[in-house]
Amino acid sequence: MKKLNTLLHDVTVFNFMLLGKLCKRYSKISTVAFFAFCAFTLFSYFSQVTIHTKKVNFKVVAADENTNTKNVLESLNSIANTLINQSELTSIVYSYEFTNSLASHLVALSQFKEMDFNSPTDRASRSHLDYFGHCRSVECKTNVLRGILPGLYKIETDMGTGKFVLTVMSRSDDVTLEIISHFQKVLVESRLAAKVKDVEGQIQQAQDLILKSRSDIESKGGFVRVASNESIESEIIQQNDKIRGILNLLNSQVDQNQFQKIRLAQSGAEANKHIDSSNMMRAENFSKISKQVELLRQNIASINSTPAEKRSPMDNKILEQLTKELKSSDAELRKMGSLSRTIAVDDTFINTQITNQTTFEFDYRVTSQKVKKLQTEYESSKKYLNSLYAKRAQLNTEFLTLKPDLEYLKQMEEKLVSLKMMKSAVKSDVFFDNFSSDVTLFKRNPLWQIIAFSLILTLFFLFSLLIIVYLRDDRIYEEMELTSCFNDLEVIGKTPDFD
Amino acid sequence: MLSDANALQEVQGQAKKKVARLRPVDATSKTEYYFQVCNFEELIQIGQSFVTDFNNGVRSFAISSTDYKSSQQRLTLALACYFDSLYDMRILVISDSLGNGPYSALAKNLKPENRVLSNGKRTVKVNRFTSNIELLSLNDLIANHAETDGFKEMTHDFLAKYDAIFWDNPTFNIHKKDFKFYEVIHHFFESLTVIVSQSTSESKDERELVSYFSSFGIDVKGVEFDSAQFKPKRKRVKDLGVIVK
Repeated sequence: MKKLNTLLHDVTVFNFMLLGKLCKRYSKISTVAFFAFCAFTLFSYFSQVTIHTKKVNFKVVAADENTNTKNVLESLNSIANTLINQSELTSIVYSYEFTNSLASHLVALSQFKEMDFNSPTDRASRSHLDYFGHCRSVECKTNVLRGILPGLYKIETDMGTGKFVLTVMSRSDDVTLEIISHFQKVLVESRLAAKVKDVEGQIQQAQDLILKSRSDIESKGGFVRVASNESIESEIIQQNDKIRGILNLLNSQVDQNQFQKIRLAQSGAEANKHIDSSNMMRAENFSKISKQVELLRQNIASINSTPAEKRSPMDNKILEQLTKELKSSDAELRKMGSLSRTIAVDDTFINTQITNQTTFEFDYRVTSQKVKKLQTEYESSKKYLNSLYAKRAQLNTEFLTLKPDLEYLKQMEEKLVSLKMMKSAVKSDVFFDNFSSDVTLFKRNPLWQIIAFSLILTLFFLFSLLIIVYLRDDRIYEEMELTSCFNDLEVIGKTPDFD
Repeated sequence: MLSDANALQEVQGQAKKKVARLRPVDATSKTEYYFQVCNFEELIQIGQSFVTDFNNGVRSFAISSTDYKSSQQRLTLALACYFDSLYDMRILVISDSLGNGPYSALAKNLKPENRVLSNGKRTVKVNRFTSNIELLSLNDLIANHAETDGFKEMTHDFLAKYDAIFWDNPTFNIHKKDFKFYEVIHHFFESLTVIVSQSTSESKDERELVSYFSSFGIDVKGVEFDSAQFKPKRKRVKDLGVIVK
């Protein structure tokens, strides 16, 4: 117990001074420990397998960054557009499906038989035959390799960039590169399939909900009401169009009727006017002379149409005679002046009004009948339109109870359309960086780590052994042991010695 | 015996005067025999400790160990010479092996003398080393007279003639084999010094030794380390005597 107490220290727990003395005292043990330390360090370092490792960064983007259907997705609440975290990704890449798929890719490679799948962390080494020698089928090899692969890669998160880091470690460059390459393919395919499956699931779910909603609405007679409503709406539109047409026609007929009424009245007034007999004679004479002048001018023009050299003397004589008659007639008309002309026109106009008055009256009566008929038709249409409005109002009241169901159905149908669009546009959410590090070689534990570990281990065993030996050793080495053995005895000194 | 005279001057000024007395008994002899002490400072320290005890009235010093006879002999011889260098007194060294160790080198120069014990019938043979130091074989003392009536008183009277007595006891291992034989002398020990060899002696043996002698009421003065193991091995040139220069 006394010895045990000497090994302890109030501050440092262990009395390291004493342990140092014990190292010197039991120098053989210390020497053996030193050589054991050297041997263990060298063996541990040089017996390690060289690890061929390569890292590649990749990211998993949210769904709305990856597709062109962002606006569609925004309207959907249930679409998973969040990023997956490391634990989820880890569970994916170590899942049965993923490792099996990756293994099947690697087994299909032509150089598969030359690939070394030994774990870089194990000291033991197994040949390709050791692993796959018993396999007769590809499935067997895939199964065996599936068990090996998870030990060759790992997924970490780069805290700086937030990206995931795929690290592949193996005992050869080829295996590392092949695993990296096929890992990327399989992960992209896996994520794509997962997303498609997710969307398909949601489509199925939406279809089921729509069917159920339709069934509910139908049981409440909702669709019949909808059809009635649509029919009424259609009739209202038609009726409105009809009324608009009647109104247009009625307006035009009323205008025409007004016109004809005024014309009939005016025509009757004109027909009742009287002209003086003398003025009538002068007007008749004026008309007669005017007709003569006209005739003369036609004849002169006819003769003049023939060239002068081809005219006969008779023609020239007739032309001269006609020219004289025309001059005399013109002179006579000038003498009669404008009054004669006005009287002639008025007379003609009055005669015309008398002739037309019967026609005007008939037209007026016809349009009046038309107006009456259109007014009657307008009134009946208006009445029918009001009844349609009343029916629609009644249906709208009934729709208030069905509105949530109908709105829900509408939203679900829109969602279904969106999901189908998204299914056709879905892409993988995994993107690997184009730039990655080269394959690097290293030992699992660097030399300093092994030295440190060996040193700690050696010191632990050395101190343990020294303490055991010290506790079991009853010999007296120095004053400390002597005083602990004989508490009340004085140590006088050392015996004299002679040369 | 002291190898460094200058150091000796520093310790005891008067000791130098008495150093001259440590010469062979035969005054005509021109030869001076000496051992050189390697650890001179240690001898001074030890010697002063014993001198202190001596001044306090202790005059019979026993030296014992489990199995380090040579160290016992060197210590008794050195202490005797140290006391002799300091004081003009009669010193007796009693050893069970005068023919071994450092004593063996002195054997041919010793002058045996018979001393009559107190009853007048028995004598004991002592060997004079210097004028003040005498050597006595323990076995002679015990073997010849232990069975004699009045041994205790007789021996007591004999030892009373000396100012200081140094007992070079048999090693404890020998002691244990025949402790009844050696038991008769324990009454004469006033102080016991145990020699311990570093890295060789075991605690339980030393405890047993101390416990054994303590059971006889002997005051265990202290412990000394055997210095033999620390001394570099050198060829001994001459060990024909112990001379203090």
